[in-house]
Amino acid sequence: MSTNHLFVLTLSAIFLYPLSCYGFSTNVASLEIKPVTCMVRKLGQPCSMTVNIRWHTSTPIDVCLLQNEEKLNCWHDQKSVETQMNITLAKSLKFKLVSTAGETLASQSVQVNASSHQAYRRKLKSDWSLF
Amino acid sequence: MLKKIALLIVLFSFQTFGQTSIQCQSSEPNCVPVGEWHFSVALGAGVYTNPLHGGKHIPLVLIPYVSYYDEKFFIENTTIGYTLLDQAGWNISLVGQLNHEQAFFERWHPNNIFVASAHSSFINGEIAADNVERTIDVQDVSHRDWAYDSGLLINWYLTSKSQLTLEVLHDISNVYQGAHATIDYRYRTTFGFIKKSKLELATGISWKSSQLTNYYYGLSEKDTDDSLLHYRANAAWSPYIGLAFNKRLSKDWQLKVNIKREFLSNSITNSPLIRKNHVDTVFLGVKYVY
Repeated sequence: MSTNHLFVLTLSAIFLYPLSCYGFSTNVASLEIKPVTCMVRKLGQPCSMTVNIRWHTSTPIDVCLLQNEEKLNCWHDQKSVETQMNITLAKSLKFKLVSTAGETLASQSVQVNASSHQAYRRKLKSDWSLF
Repeated sequence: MLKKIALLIVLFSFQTFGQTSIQCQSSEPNCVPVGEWHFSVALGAGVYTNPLHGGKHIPLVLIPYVSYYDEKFFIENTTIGYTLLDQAGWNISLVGQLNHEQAFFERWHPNNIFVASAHSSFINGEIAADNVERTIDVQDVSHRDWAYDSGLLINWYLTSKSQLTLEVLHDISNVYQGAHATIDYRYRTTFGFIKKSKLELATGISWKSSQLTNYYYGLSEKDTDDSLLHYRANAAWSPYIGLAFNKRLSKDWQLKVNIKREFLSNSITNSPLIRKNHVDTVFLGVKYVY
């Protein structure tokens, strides 16, 4: 091996090592939760629904799904999961897929909206006919 | 004739069935969400005066309130209704409600049971003899029943702040076998210098048929053997004025003031049963909305 080859090999090692480390620690991940909106009659009321959760990482990994910092479920050495889960929301929240190191790999928000069909009508009598 | 009018209204309401009712916004005053029960209770001090001789004033301390509005059907305390038509400027509903005329005669009222009357028939008898004016106590006349009325309620929304209401009701409980009607004008305003407050001024006139006035305020041999006390009442027109003030104190609590005076018709005040020519309603308290 010539000195030139050794020099190129050393340079490659110096430049590629951090990239390989970066690629390993920040696993490319995606998270999809459907539906993205939960409807309630009036804002402030708790909203419960069954959601489809699908996440994927480039390599098998230990991850947890968090709802507002609270663990909903954890998976060991998985790279792709598709499941259903019942959730209850009091307000719009962000769901996060977090590695065991505490790194957020992906996130998605679920909105709580008040039903636009809430109807109002005119009151026809005063509180008490005495008044 | 009344049946024909009712039939026409019902047919007209079916013709327009399917039209969306006029919806108001939640922020507007006097708008209620459809399909929700509302409960509240007012706690305070007040009185509903009793114009009868020997009749005790009705204290107003705890006033419960319940309401429910569906798209057509509604309940407001002792009133049950069904809205036949709801247009932008007016609406018409069939209603059934308790007639509160009997409240003046109620003997099981706590005050009437536990507190001895200050006007015994003996005292009244003496006064009658001395002053010629003859009177009789409510305790000394025959029992008057509660009645339940049914009829039409029509609201006209004149402006965003004022409305006119006509209520025409007929006894369906076969108690007094008559009718009564009220035309009421209300004007709502706010005080700029008192935040979150509203004031409602009301005036109107009520008409009571001779069957109603005679059943409750007339006197016959069923009530007394003294023929000089016998009285036959005619139809009565009684005007009234009132105001209601509300101030929101917090999300659930409101300050509430209600004042109303009804000036009784001569047809009623001429009855030997009557000692006052008016009925007052006064209440000051706080209202808790659940």
